[in-house]
Amino acid sequence: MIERVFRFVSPLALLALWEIVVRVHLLDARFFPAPSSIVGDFIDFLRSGELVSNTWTTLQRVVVGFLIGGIPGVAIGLLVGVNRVARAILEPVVALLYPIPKIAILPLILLIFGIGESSKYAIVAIGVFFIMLINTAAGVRQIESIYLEVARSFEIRRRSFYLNVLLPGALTNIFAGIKLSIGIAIVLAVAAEFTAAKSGLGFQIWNAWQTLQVERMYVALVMVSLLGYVLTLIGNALENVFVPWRGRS
Amino acid sequence: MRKVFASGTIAIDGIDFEVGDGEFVSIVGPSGCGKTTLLRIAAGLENATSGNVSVNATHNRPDALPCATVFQEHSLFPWMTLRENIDFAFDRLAIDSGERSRRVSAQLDLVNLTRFEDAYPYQLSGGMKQRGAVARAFAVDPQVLFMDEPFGSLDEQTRVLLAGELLTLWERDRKTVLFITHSIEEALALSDRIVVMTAQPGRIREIVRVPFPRPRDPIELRADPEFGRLSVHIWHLLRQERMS
Repeated sequence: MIERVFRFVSPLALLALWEIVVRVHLLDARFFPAPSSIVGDFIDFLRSGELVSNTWTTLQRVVVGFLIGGIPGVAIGLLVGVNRVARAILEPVVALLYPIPKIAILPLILLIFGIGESSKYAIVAIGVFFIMLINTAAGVRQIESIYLEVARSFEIRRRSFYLNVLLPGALTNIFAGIKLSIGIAIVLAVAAEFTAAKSGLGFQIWNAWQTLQVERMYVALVMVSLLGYVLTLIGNALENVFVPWRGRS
Repeated sequence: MRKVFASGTIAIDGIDFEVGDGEFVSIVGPSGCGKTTLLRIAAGLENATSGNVSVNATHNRPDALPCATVFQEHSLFPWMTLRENIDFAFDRLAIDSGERSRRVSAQLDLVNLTRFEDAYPYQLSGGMKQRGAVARAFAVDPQVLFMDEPFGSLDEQTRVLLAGELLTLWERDRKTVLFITHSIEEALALSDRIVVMTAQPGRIREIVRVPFPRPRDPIELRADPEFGRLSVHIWHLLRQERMS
């Protein structure tokens, strides 16, 4: 019960603190407008339509990139988790490629995919792919060996083994990966929009700084944060639907 | 047959016995005598270092598996309901879905779990889970059943109860069973023969024939003086092993 209260109160307390320090002029309102004034701006920008269309654009890039990267990430993760040869081949490759900051390869991706939508999808997909692969493989490896033995004992077919044993067995880790990926996908989409887009929340943030429209920037920042929050809530809801066998606490 | 672990420990050595068609054979022995290793090799889950196990599953029916295994505990898939768990055992078999569903229902009924068919394993008691695991193995109508201390994790009363249910199931169609247990009473109540093993390395100490007529009642059996005599005999075999 007390946790529920804290969950609700802690962000509100932070906002209240922010509001106070701006009002007593401890923070410069030109750079840190008070939450109350951001709320007003937020509504204005929603009405103007720019915010809605930029949010929609970014959401699309996040979701499409997420699916393009996530689905093969899970599939290859299952294979790497269960198959020793596949693990021997792919683990070092993943270990080499994963640490490269995805933002650092944005120029390369622009070179390959051009300035259009596909480059945004690609950068999001690459980031999500590695996280889903690594989490899925770890999920498969923590499946208790008895379940693999039961599958062997009943001569379960390969397809069913992947779909009905490995996939559900790794699902808790897969969902941990999904929640991590949501954050990463948003970071990458917004960052890609800074330099290589004419739309999206990242574009709005960057463009606002270049034209010194602080409110317009804050409004987009708040929207990015809300987008991540809502997607995480959806992730949690999906987890409850797809992992019904874990006794709910 | 012989099994040496990677560490160099000889798990089992010089194991050689036969289980007849339709026979119920138990293996008892102290912990670490390699009885589980022996069963795992027989069930094809591990390889022997030398020697081999041949399972003469003569039938080659498309609607039954030659062998099935009942594991110690927690072997039902946590992400499937009880019904789905039993149904999944039919994955390899070529039977139409109506027949499959009928067989799952019949099996659930036999172990009195119909009411719990949509429950997940975490919602079932230990005894119910093991009943489910037994039902799953019987459902695919195997010719040979391997059972690795299936009731080992249960309390004494549930254990005796489930042994009785197992006997009833088994007496319907007399499958060949290789049953691992550390309970001498359980072995006596269930088996036609008991293989008594010694530890380090695991060898056969003696094979004891169990003469009780069938069908048996595992509780009434305890009143039989022969039950007590055989029980003491096996205890002696195991105790000599301790002292030597």
